[in-house]
Amino acid sequence: MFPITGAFQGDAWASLIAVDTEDTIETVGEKIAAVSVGKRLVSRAGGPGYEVLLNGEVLDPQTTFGNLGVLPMQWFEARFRD
Amino acid sequence: MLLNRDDWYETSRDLNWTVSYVDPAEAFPKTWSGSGDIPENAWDAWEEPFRVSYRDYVRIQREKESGVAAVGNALARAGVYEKLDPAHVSASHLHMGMTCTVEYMAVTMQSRFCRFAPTPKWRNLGVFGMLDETRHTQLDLRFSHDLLKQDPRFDWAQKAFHTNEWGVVAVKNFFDDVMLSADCVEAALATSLTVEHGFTNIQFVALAADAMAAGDINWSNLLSSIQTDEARHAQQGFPTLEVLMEHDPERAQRSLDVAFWRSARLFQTLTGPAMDYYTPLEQRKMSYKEFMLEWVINHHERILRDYGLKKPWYWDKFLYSLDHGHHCMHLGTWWYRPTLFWKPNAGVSKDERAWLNEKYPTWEETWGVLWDQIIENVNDGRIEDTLPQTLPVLCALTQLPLGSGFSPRELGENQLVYQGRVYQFDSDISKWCFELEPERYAGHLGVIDRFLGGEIQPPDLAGALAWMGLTPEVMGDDVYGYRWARDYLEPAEPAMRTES
Repeated sequence: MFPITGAFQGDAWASLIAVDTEDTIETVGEKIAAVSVGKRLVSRAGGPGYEVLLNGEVLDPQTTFGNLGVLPMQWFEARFRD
Repeated sequence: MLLNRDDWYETSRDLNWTVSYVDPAEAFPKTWSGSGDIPENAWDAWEEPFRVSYRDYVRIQREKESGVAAVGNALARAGVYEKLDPAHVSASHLHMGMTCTVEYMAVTMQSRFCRFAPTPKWRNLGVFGMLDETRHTQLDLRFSHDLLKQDPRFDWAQKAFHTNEWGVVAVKNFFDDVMLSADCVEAALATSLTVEHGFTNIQFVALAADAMAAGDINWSNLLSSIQTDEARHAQQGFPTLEVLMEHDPERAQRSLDVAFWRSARLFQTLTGPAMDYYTPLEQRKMSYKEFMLEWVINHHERILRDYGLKKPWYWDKFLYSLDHGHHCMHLGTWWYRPTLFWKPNAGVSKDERAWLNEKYPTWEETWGVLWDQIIENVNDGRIEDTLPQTLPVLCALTQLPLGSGFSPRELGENQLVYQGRVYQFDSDISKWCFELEPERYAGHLGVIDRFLGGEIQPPDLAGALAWMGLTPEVMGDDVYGYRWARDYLEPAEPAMRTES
């Protein structure tokens, strides 16, 4: 388990998200979304998933999280993919 | 013939002796006095704006005590508590748990003034402050003890600060810093001048007015009685600021700017939800923002102007936060309701929502949309989707959730890597405070640090609740059992009439 700070755009606060170093960024986005979308944010049924941003840059969804080399509790943002 | 008070007052107040058996620097270490490089004789100019003798003090305090006790006893006999609105009662649970031990911490702070303040005038006046705070602690404990038979949550007046409940940790973290650990000068600026002279008005004047309107005369009376003491001993901050402005104005500006922001965030948590969401709608006097503008911001601006200080660099952001911070803290505390020792009121029925929109014109587009999703989940029976699944990440300065100072539009990265560790902040203002003195704040292990460090077992919500000391009989839940959400249910279709 690797702890990160996850914030979904439009939500009110950032949450502690447990990711796995083997997770893809696609999975990280889903984990961040899981605590916000459908809870406080309206979900988009059948939508195209989520983008994850690190330092303002959109990450490749197929990248493996462990390859990012970040410190625990690093800030990540997620948002609906347009 | 007895002398008049003014004939002997200064002789008594200034009583002091020249230490000869110890080094004065050891008797009054600068780490405790806070005198820094201010010349010793500069403190001769320290003059309190009020005069009180011990005889006068005892007489007046005795009268106050008699008044509070008489009202309390009469109302207990009349069974007034049993008739109070449960949402209002939640505000008193919150107040007692969060402030009783702060009053006790203030006894220690005032004791430090008595012993280490850099002038005998201040040391003597600290005695009255110490006695004041002892009285406040005892008032809270007596009030809560009397109501224990009504609700075990009143036990938290004494218990709260011996638990790891996250809100308590945030409050404790602040007051540990500015009351228990701060030198006399900083404590006077942060606590006397900022918290007591400014922010306690919102808790002890505004909330007292709401409590009175809600019919809780006993609590209202207690709050008002406490505030009469606060208004007096808070004035110890003024002469301290005056000396500091003469000799170290930069320190004065910095200390006040940090203390004001930290206090503002704390009271967004303690008072904002109680005023704008827990107080029954028909009994609300003013909104939290209106009270802040009238009672805190006007005061603080006047102090800054009178003493030649600048407004903090973050002033415009702070004013903006008045429209959002406490709404976010309210949503957050309601969401994390099992982690509270009181029952929060959602406070978003249609009528309440109309009031919120009138007082805060951007409320609907900012907070209403989030509540809409929650309401849908409640009305669809998905309560589990309105409960926490993980912990919020907390600010390394305020210990409050990231994002909770502003609106969702401002939820963004305020991160700092310091000595190999990531620190997160709820705003660039909190980050700025931290960076002024990183060694002061960096060592604190917050709730998340302890969770990640394995102190919370099992590492899930149940483990966290046990770690926070929350037991089923006090654990928070929606105070009205979600009845307010029925406002939003579509009316049932009328049954089709069939002609016979």
